[in-house]
Amino acid sequence: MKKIMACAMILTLSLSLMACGGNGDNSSQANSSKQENSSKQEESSQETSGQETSSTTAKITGTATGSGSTSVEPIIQQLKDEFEAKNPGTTIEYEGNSSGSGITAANENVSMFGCASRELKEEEKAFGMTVETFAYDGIAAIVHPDNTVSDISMEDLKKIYTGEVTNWKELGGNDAPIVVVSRENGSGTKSAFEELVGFEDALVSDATIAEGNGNVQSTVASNPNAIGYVSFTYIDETVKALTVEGVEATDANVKNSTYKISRPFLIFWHEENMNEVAKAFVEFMMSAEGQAIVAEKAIPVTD
Amino acid sequence: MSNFKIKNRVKDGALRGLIYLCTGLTVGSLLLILGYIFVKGVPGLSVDFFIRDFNDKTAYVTLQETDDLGVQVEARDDGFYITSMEKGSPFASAVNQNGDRQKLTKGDQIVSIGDTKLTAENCGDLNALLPDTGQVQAKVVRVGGGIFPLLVTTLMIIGLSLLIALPIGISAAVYLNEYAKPGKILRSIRFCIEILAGIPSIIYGLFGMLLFVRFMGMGFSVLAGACTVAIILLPTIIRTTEETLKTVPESYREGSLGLGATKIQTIVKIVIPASAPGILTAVILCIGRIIGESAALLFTSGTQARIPGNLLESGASLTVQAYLAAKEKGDLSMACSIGVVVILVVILLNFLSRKVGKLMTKF
Amino acid sequence: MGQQHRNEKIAKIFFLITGLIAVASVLLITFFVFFQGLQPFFPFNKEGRYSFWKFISGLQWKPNDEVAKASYGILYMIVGSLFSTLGAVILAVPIGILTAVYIAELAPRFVVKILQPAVELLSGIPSVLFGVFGLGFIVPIIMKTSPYARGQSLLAVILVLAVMILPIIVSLSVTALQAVPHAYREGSYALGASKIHTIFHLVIPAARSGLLAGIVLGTGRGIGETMAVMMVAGNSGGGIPTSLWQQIRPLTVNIAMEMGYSSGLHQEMLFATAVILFLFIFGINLILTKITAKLGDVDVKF
Repeated sequence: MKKIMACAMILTLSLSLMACGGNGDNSSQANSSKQENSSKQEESSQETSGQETSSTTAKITGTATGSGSTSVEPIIQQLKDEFEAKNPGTTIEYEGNSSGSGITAANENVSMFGCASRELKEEEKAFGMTVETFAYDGIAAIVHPDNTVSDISMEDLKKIYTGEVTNWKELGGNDAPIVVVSRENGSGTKSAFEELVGFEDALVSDATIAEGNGNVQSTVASNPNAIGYVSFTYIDETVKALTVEGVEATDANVKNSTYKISRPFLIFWHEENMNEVAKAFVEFMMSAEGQAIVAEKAIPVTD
Repeated sequence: MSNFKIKNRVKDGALRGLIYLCTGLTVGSLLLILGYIFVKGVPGLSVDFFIRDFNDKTAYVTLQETDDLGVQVEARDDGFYITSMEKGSPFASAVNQNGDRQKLTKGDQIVSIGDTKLTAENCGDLNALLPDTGQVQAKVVRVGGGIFPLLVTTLMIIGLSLLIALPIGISAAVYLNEYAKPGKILRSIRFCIEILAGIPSIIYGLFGMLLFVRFMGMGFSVLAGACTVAIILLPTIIRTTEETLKTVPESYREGSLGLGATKIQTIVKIVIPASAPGILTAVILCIGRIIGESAALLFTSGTQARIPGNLLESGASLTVQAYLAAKEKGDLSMACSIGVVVILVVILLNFLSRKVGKLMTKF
Repeated sequence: MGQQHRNEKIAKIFFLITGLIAVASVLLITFFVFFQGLQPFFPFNKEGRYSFWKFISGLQWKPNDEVAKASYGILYMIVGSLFSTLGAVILAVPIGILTAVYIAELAPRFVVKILQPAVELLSGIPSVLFGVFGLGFIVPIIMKTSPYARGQSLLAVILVLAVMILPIIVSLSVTALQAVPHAYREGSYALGASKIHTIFHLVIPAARSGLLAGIVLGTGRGIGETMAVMMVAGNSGGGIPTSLWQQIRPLTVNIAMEMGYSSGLHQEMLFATAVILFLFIFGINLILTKITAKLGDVDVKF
């Protein structure tokens, strides 16, 4: 009896493995042949009538894959949109999950490049990837627009997030409990914020954990007593960004280093994993044109 | 009337009231949820919602030499929208950088013409922006905000997972009803079907991620999603099919066997066709299940809101995107609009399964 | 004839194999999840070892790449999952059973024709939408009354779960009540008992194992629910809930929320969470099969 069961299991397993393995092979072959085709393809004589010529002279087609931080995602989306418009036939796939998994994915060639919204740790630098900073971003402490508190010190932020201060009146606000909103483990914004404010691993345990920047923003927007932190990109009229030690949360203040809570946006890759499209995309990102797009959502590295 | 009887009557009345109250609560909660989702979601519905891409798509197009663009634009918060367009407009015969025709229509955005960006001042007279001679390039945006790619992905997953699960499920049901003799095998199969039906989708998601996405190397893909969902569907298909197989009268089988047909011929030619309505019900139930599935697809078919080019590309289904909209963007209206579409489909499916159910009782 | 005989045999084996796919799936799922999830508790694990006792009795969840700094305790999640499911069952069972009583015993035909599809629809609404409803409707209401000034709470989870398991309990209870032979009722009426009296003293007790099956199935659904719960639970990083206003992090949410972000030991610990969840589901299923075995004919389907 057991033998039959075992045989059946092995049979089904191997059958399905075969089927799926076969598929995988096909696709990779298809992909590589696609790439060959594209490189063989004659360059079509394209008129570029006065438009800024993109950095790529030869026509490229194909797909580049990236993954990583969700804070970076809105910028990547914009860059991708423009890049794909300039280079029809190219696709940039960006899977937004977290800085941590972006680093792993790029290192293990799950995706060609990765993006992070925090500095790499020592052990991550040891992977030997090429790392470029393509933007800077501030993290804003946000509260509900009705909150009377409008300035906060780094010290008080730390006290709030470690649970030492639990009522707004201790900070000169209304007599109401502070609802602490934080991000899920693995978020680059979370680790950057904790590191910059200085309370790594000491987050008060009853903090509400919201998944994603947008979720923090909407949680804070719907609760008059909440405090949260989001990337500057997510500040809108539904929430109020606090000034930190008197300094307003603006791009200019991040640039001149007066605003304390800021971090770099990084892109990194192993040279050998990059295809033409991915290289061109990174080049585009760092070009004047790409940086102009970055400037719409974050702080560009070049002036 | 005795005191006792009056007491009983009061008690009866109270209990009856309680029953009505509870029924009211059940119906009330349904109405509340439907009401909330429809009120928030219906304003977002339009034809565009169904046919548009999810994300904005920018393109550079080349326009034929002309001195009249023949379009009117209107400035709104997020760009300059084409509000009217004449027949001979060069925008109607625009060519993208690949040399393919890209026809622009009402509702598309124009960002720039030549080197000039559109502004509130110059958008009144676009022809003034044209160069004196030659072709001109324009940057245009096809506005997203629609669910078309999600619909396609969802349909792909439905089709593919049924393709995998139906043959397996039906023949498993045939085994259980036509071949199996009471004993260890039958018991263990039945027990496992029970277990499968009870496993939460998040566990299926993890399993799919380990086995299909990683171990078999499918990556985040529609195929991996469909394989995972196929296992989720098995119990539904097996049970529903078995129910119908049971209703096929024994005389059919005896007749067929008596005419000299073999058992396998009887099953393929008589028993399965006779239980077609039951199998159809299974399909309908399955479609409902797939449409509602999110946790299992999140980790297997990915979160990209686009039309997957092949089965090994990732794509987000309707419900996965509804979740992402609520989570990443805090956009409850978008989530509710998708919700309205899903609920309407569920209502339609329920209606169909009732109709088919009636067909079945004709035996 | 021999040819035919062989064909028959091949067909039979083919059907058997497809039947065994269900068994294979269960074995595979169990194997993969347990294999990943039990690794961290063995000393030779390359990602670092974590004590099973600390895992099962810990009150804090703080992942860290370094094992020494990390804390992977899930006791508070187990408690959260159990409390929320229990609360939902307590709320939904009486409401569900009495609704079923109305549908099966009291309602006129045309009302049944409306009510049954309505209940069916409620069970067909995807869980994400329950979450959206909870987040947009229930959470703001709770926020106004909560001493912690926030809506994400155990109470919100209980309410959302209760609505979600309601249709399961109603439809299974209707089936169970309808399966009670008519003769029972007529006997009772003949003895002069009222309709309501008959329902509560005769029909419901006679249908009790069917009703119980519904309750157990509802419990299973409640403990396994993920997406809806994730949006309203608050998902706190530690602490056993002591009141309805406090936040919880159910087991399922822990997995769904961090799986995309995790690697190494952290990811293995998430699979370990899945192992615990799996054990709960397995236990519930065992109870269910015991009940359904007793039931005999009454059809339990969901």
